[in-house]
Amino acid sequence: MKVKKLSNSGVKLMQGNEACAAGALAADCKFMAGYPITPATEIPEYLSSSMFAADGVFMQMEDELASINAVIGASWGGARAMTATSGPGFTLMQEALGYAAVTETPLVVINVMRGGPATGQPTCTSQDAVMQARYGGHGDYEIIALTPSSVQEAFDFTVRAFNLADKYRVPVLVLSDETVGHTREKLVIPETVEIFDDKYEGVCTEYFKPDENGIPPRLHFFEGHNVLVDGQLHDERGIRAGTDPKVCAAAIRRYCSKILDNIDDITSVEEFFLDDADTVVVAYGSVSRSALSAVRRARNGGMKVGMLKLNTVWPVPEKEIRKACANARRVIVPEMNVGDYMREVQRIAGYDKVEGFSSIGGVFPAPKAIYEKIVEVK
Amino acid sequence: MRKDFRFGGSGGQGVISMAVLLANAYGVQHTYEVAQTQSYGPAARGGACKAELVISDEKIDYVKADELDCFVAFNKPSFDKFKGDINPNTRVFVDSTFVTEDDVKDCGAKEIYMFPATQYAEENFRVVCTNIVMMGFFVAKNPEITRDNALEAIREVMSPKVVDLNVNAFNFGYEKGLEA
Repeated sequence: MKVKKLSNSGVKLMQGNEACAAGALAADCKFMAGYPITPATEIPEYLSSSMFAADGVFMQMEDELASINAVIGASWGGARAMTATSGPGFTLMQEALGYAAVTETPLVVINVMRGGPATGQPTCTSQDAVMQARYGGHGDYEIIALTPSSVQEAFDFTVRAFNLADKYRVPVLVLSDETVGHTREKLVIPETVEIFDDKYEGVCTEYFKPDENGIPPRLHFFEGHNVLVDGQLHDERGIRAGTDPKVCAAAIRRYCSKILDNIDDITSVEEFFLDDADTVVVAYGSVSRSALSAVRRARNGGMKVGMLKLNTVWPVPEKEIRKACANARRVIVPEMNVGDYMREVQRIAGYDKVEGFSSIGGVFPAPKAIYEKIVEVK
Repeated sequence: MRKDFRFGGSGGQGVISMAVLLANAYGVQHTYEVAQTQSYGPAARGGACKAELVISDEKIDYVKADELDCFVAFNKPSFDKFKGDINPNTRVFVDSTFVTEDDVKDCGAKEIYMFPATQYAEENFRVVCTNIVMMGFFVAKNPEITRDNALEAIREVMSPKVVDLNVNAFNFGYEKGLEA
């Protein structure tokens, strides 16, 4: 890691979307390609006017397909690169995200989730892309997804997303939502940020040969390597090997294991009142703040309620969820979808004791609603 | 201490701008934690528009307004839309250019301020200053922040070309608030 000094440190009032953009600049992002879409538009808007001064490039593309593919190209060209989108735009990017996973291209996608399906509810909040983020493309591969719940986290998690993308050579998703994206709060921009910096030195011929952590060397075009970048499964030199079962099986396993074997380094959670909790709330993103308010109220009323806040949802923090829920009689997963991530928690904590609390239709759940779920007599 | 404010009006009346300026005044010029949110229709002007601001001396969990401490209504449709959320502790500020005493008398609020912000803005400044005239009145009635905090927010957020006009508009509303 190298330490980068920031010239704009201090307290600002910003929207979550602006904080993502500011975080990207802080993280040395030098390329954004995007297509405007509510509720993510403030991100390209911010970068369209500030990227040039940061010695980077902003391109408004003809659509989301072009955007994500331009980002893949820019990343191989040596720039930290990103796009931002929502709902239908994220759907359009899925094929290229699979391509980025297989070509092990570091990039960041900020998905400011809005209500779906289809055009859905463009101006309304949602968390209904949480499974799409993981399973949107065909084939087996792992990605990393971070779930900010505040303007500060929008900044901090975007910085971290770029570092994780470079470290693991993988697409990293920042799953924001309309509530985080459009809330203005105080953002403290730090004096410095850490930037992952592990450039390959020397001449490489085995462009996709993993190191001891399962990650290939960090190469770019224009550095003298004749690297072939191909979406068909390939061997360690990058040569197509689509009919070689041994090579392909090893490649697929590695796309997964390089993330899953390093899950402890990637996972981030926060624990609240878990020591003696017999009811545990598991929450992520904006909803975790309403949930925490509800949990505090129940605690003040004498209930043994705790909360596990997930800052990363993919890979699933299995160990942390299992530990938090081990002694719980009841586990509640509030989320703004029909209960998507609840199924992951059920798989880990036990089918019978896990319940969802579903808020859909663009309704950001108030603490009162989650509190009533916590205290309902079972 | 947590306080929840809601601002309602029609798109283009400066509802969101007022909330953003106050968020800056409370959060950046003063030391409060702030969370400011809004919802509005797709049209740039017209249509119902709602903005909210939560201030607290602790970290804010729930970012939307919950139990309303203050409700500012710039027109009758927005007053009618949100009057159901008024509680006995709510202080209501209405633009009496468009809302009559009859409209508000049974709303159950703790206090009701009838303040013709649009009329004052048209007569003394420009109609686009309506929200700033109202903001001056609002700050005079909410002494957690000072006049200087609010004026600094105006200077920081607004384009330099219109700062003087809006500082005057703010001071006008503020003085009316002190008198009321």
